Amino acid sequence: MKKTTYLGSALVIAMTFVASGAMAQDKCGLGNGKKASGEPIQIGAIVGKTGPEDFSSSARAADAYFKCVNANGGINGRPIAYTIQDDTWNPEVASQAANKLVKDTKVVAMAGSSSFVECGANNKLYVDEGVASVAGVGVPRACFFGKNYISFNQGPRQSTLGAAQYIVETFKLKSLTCVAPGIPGFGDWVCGGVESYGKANNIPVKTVIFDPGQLDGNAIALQVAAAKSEGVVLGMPRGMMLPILTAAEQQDLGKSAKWGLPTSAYHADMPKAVGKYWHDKLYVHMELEPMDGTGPDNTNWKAVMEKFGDKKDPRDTFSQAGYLSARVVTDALLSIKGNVDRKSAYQAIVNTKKWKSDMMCAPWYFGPGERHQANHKGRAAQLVKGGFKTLSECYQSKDAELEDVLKLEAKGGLVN
Amino acid sequence: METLLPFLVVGISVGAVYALSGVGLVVLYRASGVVNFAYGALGGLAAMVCWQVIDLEYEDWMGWVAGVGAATCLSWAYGRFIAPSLTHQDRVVRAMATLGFALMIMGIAQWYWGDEPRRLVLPTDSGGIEFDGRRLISHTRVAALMFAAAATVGMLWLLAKTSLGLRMRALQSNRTLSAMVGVRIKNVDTWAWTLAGLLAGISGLFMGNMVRLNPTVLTFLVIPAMAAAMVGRMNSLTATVLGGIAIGVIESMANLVPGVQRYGSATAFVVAILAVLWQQRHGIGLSRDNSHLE
Repeated sequence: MKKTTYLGSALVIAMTFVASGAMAQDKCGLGNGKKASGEPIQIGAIVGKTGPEDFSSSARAADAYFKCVNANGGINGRPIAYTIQDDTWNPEVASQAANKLVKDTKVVAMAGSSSFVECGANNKLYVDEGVASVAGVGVPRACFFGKNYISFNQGPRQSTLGAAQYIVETFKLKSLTCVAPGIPGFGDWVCGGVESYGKANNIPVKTVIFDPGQLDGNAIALQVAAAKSEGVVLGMPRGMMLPILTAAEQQDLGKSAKWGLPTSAYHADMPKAVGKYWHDKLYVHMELEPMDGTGPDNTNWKAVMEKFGDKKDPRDTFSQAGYLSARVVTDALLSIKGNVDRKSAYQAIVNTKKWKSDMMCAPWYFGPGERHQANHKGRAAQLVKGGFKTLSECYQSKDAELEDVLKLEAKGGLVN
Repeated sequence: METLLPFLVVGISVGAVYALSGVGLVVLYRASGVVNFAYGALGGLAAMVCWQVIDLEYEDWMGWVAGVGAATCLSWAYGRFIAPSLTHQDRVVRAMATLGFALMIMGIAQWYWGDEPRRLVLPTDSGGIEFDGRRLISHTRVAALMFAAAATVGMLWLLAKTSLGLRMRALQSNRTLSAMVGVRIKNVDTWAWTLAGLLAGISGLFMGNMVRLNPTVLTFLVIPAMAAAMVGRMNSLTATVLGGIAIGVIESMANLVPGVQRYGSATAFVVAILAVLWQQRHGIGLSRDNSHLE
């Protein structure tokens, strides 16, 4: 009897999942279940796949979403041809890849990009050629200061500051250490946000910028130990965090300070990777909805990845961001009355405003002006055994660099 | 001194792994005349295989054996089946062939394991030597130092006291004459490749634990190892060990100098270039070039 009950419950749960998955999958684009045909609409992405860390999660999610769109009527019947180029973390390669996509492939827009080098290399090209790039993940400063470039993440500066803000305000910390790699346009910029926050709140901040090619995390952990701060934030990709956390564990630094990590650490494999020493000791900033969130878009993201993605595609914040960028571009293209070309795509994308998703803390917009940063609110989570525990509601990043963005939003019409 | 000491000790322990890797490179070069660019990739493979076995919840020691065994077997296979067919090629061609081998291993490992966050934990991580109330050095790093010392002494003994070492030295001196007096070149070369694979596997486990468990990152372990071997003129094991430790210490101490700390990874190049310049100035060349006799 008990066995039957379990089996019945399992079947009901399975059917519910299948049904909700099918429903969610139907929401891609037109959602009519008809395979798109005809002349493809070209969209491109540039990612840093080959290099110190694989930064292609965002474009892989965008690819899955576009496949779903193509299986559901495409852009009013036309399929999307999505081309992803690897910049190998090399600005020259990034420039060549963008030129190829913009001038040879003739993309109407870029979506889902994620790179350490492409913004600096290609911002001018996108402006000159009238291409809008809705990146999944912007990494260095240039990604948030391009006229035609916008991303769905908050960026490492906001996210590292978000983690710092949470641990300082929750635990009333009186000193901080910010650690970041010395990548041009990255390390100093990332820790600069924490420094300005510290200055405004009378909290001394020690910054440790290290050589990203440095093999040993212990030398960095020793500098953190020497700083004797009450809080430590690591502004870097998760792969670089692990050796530092390992070394810090060996120095038992998890007990003497509170540790904050940006959203790059919000990955399902992190609790296992960091080991049990760090469980309950790491506070992670989330730029988007928690992965186990049950909102319709988050459910749709998971369903799309399940059906159209690869099993190996990461399910992380960057994947969520890539999915959202593909959705915005799809919605913009679907709104075009008439021919879909670069000019009409650009207009449709830059005119996007008050675009809502349960995955974001606030509505998204492209906005006017020379730079764009629509996402600047996030949540905090605690890394626990087997996952993450959400600790806070959405909160605003207190970065002085956001002054122009907040002023623009206050004028109205973009988010409300 | 209190500030310097931890950086010095950490530098010595990382330098020991560079030295261990350098010893593997020198032993192979002395016996077969091949500069092995695949050394780091073999180490990376060892670390990944070890992690995989432990992740499948087998005993830790099985992971270590599997990891080191994989690197050793692959290196043996290269030495047994591929290297002999390149024996009469130019030295540069043989070195480039190992680079191709490295890229293959790295590519396959990266494809299979991807870039997910993971960590190789060794039981020696939890213990360490304390100083001034703080952990100065973990037992893993002490083990790395001991392995480097043991490998150097073991290789010196092998080269000086065993018949295999004698045959290796004979090949280093003159491969053609060695063949004429009955030294089985292929056999000795294969042994050298096997030993290099063994040392690469052990170095890989340490670096996978101490640095980062990522096949691409570990593949580039070959750079400081190569720099250490250059200090030893691809010939002297003792100088190679000193070179490796010097690189590790300078790299670590650079963290104490503001402005220089973000360029620490250039240490290997700087040390190698200075060593080569100094050797040239004093008329010291690479390990005896016997390629014209092949």
